[in-house]
Amino acid sequence: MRLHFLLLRSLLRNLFRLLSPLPFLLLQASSFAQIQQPVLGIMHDGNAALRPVYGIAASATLGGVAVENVDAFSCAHSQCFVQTLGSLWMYDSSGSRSILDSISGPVPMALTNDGVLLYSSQTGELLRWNPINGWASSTLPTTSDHTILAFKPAGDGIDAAVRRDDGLWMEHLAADASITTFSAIPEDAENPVRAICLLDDGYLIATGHAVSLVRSDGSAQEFAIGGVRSFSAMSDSAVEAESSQGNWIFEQDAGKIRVSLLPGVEPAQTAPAGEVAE
Amino acid sequence: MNRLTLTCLFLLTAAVANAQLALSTVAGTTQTPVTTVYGFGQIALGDVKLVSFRAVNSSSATVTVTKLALSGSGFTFSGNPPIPYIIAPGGHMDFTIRFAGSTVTNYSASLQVNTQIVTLLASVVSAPTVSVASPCTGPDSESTISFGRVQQAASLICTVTVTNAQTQQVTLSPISVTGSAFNTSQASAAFIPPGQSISFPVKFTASSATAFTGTLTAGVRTYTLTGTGFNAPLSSPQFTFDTSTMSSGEQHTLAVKLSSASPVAASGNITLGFKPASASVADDSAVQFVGTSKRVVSFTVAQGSTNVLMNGQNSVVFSTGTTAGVITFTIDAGAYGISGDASASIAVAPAPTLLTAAGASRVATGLKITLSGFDNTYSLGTFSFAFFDRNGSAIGSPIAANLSTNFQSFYQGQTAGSSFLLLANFPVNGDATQVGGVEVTVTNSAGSTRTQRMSFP
Repeated sequence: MRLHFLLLRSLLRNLFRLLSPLPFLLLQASSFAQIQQPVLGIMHDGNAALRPVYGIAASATLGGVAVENVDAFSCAHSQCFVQTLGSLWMYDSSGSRSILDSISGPVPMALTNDGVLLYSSQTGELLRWNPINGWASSTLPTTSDHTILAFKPAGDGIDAAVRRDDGLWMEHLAADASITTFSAIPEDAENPVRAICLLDDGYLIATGHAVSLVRSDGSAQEFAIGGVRSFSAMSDSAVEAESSQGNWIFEQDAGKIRVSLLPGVEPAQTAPAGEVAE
Repeated sequence: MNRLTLTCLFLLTAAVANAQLALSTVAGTTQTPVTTVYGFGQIALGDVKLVSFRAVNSSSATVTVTKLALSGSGFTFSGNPPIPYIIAPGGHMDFTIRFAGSTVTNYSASLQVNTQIVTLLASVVSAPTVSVASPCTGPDSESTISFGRVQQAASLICTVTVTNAQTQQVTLSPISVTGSAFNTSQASAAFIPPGQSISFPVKFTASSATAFTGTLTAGVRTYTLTGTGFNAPLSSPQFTFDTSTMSSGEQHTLAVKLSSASPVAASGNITLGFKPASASVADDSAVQFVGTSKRVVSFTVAQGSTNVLMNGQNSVVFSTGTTAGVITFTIDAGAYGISGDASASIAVAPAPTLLTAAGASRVATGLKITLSGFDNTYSLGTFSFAFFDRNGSAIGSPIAANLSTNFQSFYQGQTAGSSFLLLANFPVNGDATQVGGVEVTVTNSAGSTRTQRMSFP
């Protein structure tokens, strides 16, 4: 509180002195500032646990274990959706959690502005959740040779990276049962795609020897990071790539992407039977 | 029972018991029975010989040793047990006899243990003296000749000289060397004329990095030979970084090579140390090997290779943290050792505040500015906010704010680096939509940093 008060007093002294002559703008006497340790996001460590990551990407430090036995996760908008041992949990910024549904095994998951989407490529069922309306489902078109690798909400349906018999494609699956294929995802048969992550502007794609950022305008940028097996959203602006050589953070800022190695942890001796460390 | 009866019983017991004492000599774990005569053998003039004896009670009754005596010159007890000495059935009593003769002649003495008597014999002979040339040392007071430390698989030859200071010829026999690491080409016997000497080589070969012992027998004298094999130190390490200039907030790679091939398969650790430039912080834990979040990484190097593998890789990633200072890498090869400088340091210079993200937004009550970054000098405090209208014209003069005290409080006791997230709210009374953008200038002891103009959406 004292920090805030001092900052407030300092700011106000200057604000009133300098801005008060302005005819159209008056800054009120309640200006204040806060200084915090920055949180880059949440990462999935090598022991299947979630940990907060502090600092800046290239010089980050790890916090303690927040959740254990995590199969998959996705964090954004101050929320994390976590699949642990067959259950889906939501964690808010205060650390409190609530169970959302019982699901069997990891399923593709995408975040919306206020909730989460789950999609079953077997049934075509798209589950939407938000704190106001709870669960709602709709059915999207399915075909037997489609396997959704990743998706993101788009209109009343989803944009999805789909593996078909004839390769990898970006498609839009709409609630009216239509499927629109709008681009092919390049793939080398000898070096197949292992993981993909859809971004607002393009996608990240991982092969055995590299990760590529492909933007919507078709431009691409390659990073020599091999062995990536999955992508997860760490925060609004960061994606974690888990690989056999360590975990990496892809941080987006003002159209640029920065890549850094995330701090590693010692392998756990034994997997705890418990489910959540709170 | 009266006193006479008691006395008779005691004498009877003693007489029976004496017949049950068996004498022997003891050398290590070897016992050699002694009957009526025991010879100490030839002893060089000026030398001392110690012989350990053991009296064993082989009867089923207790034996009390009431007499332990020596008669004759040259022989003395060394550390006698207290007499009387009671030996339980199956037990024993040890004692040591020391012989040292002052003249070249034959010696004899009587050893008495209770009623058992043994004649001791010894012969003092004139013996040539043994010396060794550098780099060997000795013989010392324990008759030990040291070959010192020899690199594994290497050999060291020392010259042994035997001098006959007597006035008559000496036959030196035997001449022998034992021990797997030691050998000599010298014949097994030699004649040494009066006043002259002979020399011969003794070779020590260290087949492994361990201690070796052997013996050199030169006539009546026997010497212990010692030598130690050791691994050659690894040659001086060459630390290589992916860049010559480093700044805070970066990740870099370290690779290490040896200046010459490793003579052995070796392993050890490379440690990372950090000394902040600022006295206001003690450390920055983000300065670390990133892959393990630690400041030590194990390494291996194969025999014949110069490549130092760290955690099995040719290079290792480390973070420079967010604090100016000196990062030092030190290689420790443990018992193998390192020749040359085992450390390398890199300096991370103080720099103006680096802003990693900046944002401007509108909130219900006004304007919100978010800045994140780090100040590796820990001196941040002066901020200047320059507001612009929607036409790009400046709104008055920039607003200065001194947040030094706030940042000092924030950094107090901080050991995880200087990164910060500043959230500044500017409540507005009026038409806040007329404020189109803002530029923020932050100043620390190393200079100023200015954001690009951020637009309020």
